[in-house]
Amino acid sequence: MTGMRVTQASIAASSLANLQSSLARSARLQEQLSSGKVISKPSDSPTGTVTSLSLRAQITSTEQHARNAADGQAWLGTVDSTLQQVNSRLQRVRDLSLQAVSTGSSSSESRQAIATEITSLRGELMGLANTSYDGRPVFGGTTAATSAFDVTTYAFSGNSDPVNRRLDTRTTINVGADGAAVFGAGAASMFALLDQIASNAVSNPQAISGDITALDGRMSNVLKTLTDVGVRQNRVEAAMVNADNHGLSLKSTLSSVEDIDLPRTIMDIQLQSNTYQAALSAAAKVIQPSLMDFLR
Amino acid sequence: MSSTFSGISTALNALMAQRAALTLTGQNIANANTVGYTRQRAELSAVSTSGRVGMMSGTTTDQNGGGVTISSIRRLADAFVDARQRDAHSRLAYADAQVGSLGQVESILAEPSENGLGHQLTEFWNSWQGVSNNPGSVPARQALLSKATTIVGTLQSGRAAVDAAYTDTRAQLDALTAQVNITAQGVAQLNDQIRQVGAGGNSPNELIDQRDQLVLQLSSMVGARSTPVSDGTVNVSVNGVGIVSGTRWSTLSVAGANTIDSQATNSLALTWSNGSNAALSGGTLAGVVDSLRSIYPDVAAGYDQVAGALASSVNALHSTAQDLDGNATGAFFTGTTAKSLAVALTDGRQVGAAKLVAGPTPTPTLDSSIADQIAQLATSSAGADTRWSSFVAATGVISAAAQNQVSVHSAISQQADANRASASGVSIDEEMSNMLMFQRAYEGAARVMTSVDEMLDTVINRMGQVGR
Repeated sequence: MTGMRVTQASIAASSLANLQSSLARSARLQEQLSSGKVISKPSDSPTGTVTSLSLRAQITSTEQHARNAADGQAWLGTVDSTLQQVNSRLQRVRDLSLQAVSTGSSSSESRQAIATEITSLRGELMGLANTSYDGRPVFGGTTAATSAFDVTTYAFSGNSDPVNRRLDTRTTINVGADGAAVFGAGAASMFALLDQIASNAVSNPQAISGDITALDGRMSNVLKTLTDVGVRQNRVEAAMVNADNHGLSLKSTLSSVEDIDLPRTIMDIQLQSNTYQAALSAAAKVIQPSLMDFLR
Repeated sequence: MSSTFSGISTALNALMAQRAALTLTGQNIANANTVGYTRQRAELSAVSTSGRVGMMSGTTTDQNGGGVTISSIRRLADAFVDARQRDAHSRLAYADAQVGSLGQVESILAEPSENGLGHQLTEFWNSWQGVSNNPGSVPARQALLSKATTIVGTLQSGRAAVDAAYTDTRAQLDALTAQVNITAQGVAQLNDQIRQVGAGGNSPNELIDQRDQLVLQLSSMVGARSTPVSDGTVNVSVNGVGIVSGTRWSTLSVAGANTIDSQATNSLALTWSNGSNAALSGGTLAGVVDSLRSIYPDVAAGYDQVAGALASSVNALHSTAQDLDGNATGAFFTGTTAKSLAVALTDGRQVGAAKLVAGPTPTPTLDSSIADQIAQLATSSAGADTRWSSFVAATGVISAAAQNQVSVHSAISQQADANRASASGVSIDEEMSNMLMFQRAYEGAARVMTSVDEMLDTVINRMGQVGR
């Protein structure tokens, strides 16, 4: 085949087609620039879309994990400060018990006063044991009851089920404390013990030394739980920081997948516009003259 | 020996031939921008004197020709270029139709964005964690139900949009079919006219242009191919089935469901009136049919699978739970398809977050282990999220492939158009130089006639006047 025969119509058609494709590229860049996104529909990048979907899900669930951890921290904070107070109250009970034991220095009036204070401390401890957060007794496990202990029978109405908060996809953490383990239940409870000490202080001071041993056992339980709560608080704290950092890094990854490279896109659009203008002026020059312009 | 006046007739037919050629140049220029016009050329040929037997027939003075005549008006078309153009157009139209459908599907999916189902699913799972954090809170439970309702709404509206797209495209198929039938009829009628004009000895070139335009339209619509016949007509076939033969044509008819849900039982059927099954491999119609047969049903099935996976996975866990009042819970979602999916619960208290406590009477607890387990379905490999993202990706891959096909075939199609313009298009420069040529030849012929006339004047008026 010899050289292709060129006609005005074919030049016009091919110029138009080139201008069209150039304009289409400009429109695509313009769309990217105005939306700020490289991927606006799945076919723009099927793999990028999958990555974007998964990153978006991870970001949102990481935010939820941070919220879970914050909620857990509030729970653990409540448990921690309550146990601190329980500990100081028990310390006071112990001091008073020791005073009651040394009968020499204690008259019956002063022992009566000791008994009254211990009874009132028992009431305070009962209040602490029924501490609630957001309407739930923090020592009640997953109970639906409004308090963990019965004020008169000292019966434990909670359970030992964990109150779990999810820190990430694999880890949950118990943010409650087992009330039965800390305070005991019914006749074997800390409250019953305090009642016994109060009555022994009045009538049978010799028996108090045995009660003090039992009290020490309770106190060490409280301290053990406090330590455990402290460890869990640290874990939740770390998880919160982790979730924040993870969320930030996920967001920057998502941005690198989805968002345009601004300087590059601006550069591209500038180049594209130059190309378009060049094509326009070339088309104008090519189409204009014909033999007609030169024949008389 | 030739006649004294033969020079005049030679000059006369030269004048007539050049004038006719000039007129044809005018016709070409007039149609320089007419779509489908094929340039024409007057084929001039010299006329020889008829050989005579006689004593003087061999003398050199008698060897002159009889002038010029237009032997034919040629239509400068290239059958191969035309066939390639039809083929390219049919492929482009097919890919274009598919891209149209897939583009619609992609906009229905609305991914990746904050409004897409993917994001809504994540928020739904997060709400389960919200309930898990605070199982006694009725507002947290209501928030969960409203997220669930949002998902149901998105799945339903997405599915309904696919349904509507199917029904619209089905109506488009009917309209296209009517167009195919009118075009095929047009080809057959033009075939008839071309045959008659050709038989009458006239030039049917303009009619052929019109008919070839219609054949090109048929190629774009149904991927038609044409075979020329010696009398100037063409036979048109689609995938081996003849649909136009001379002056007879077949019509296409479409039967089958108008809705996506009935297409499985009442499937789409295309038949030609000659009884053949219409299997299409190119053209808009084939793209539309493929969209109706596979793209839309696949997308609808994708929606249904996501809805089914969501309902079955959540329900399986939810039916092992108890609600806020300690009553055993059943299904969270009813329905198994995107269309029938609904939230079974009406009150936040009915959400099952706690493990069921066995016993004769309901035992309410603030356990939230089931809510946590349901929240973990977000990352389940057979869960709704995974299905959704692979469904979105699969659609994206098909759509990207179809877009590539369009850009490839539009380049090929442009090339084919350029080739057609190159072979058959009118070049103004060329026509201008032809015009010069014919005009000059016309002037020359007129000059010849003038000089023959002057010669005769010499013979008739000035001879035999010696000594006057």
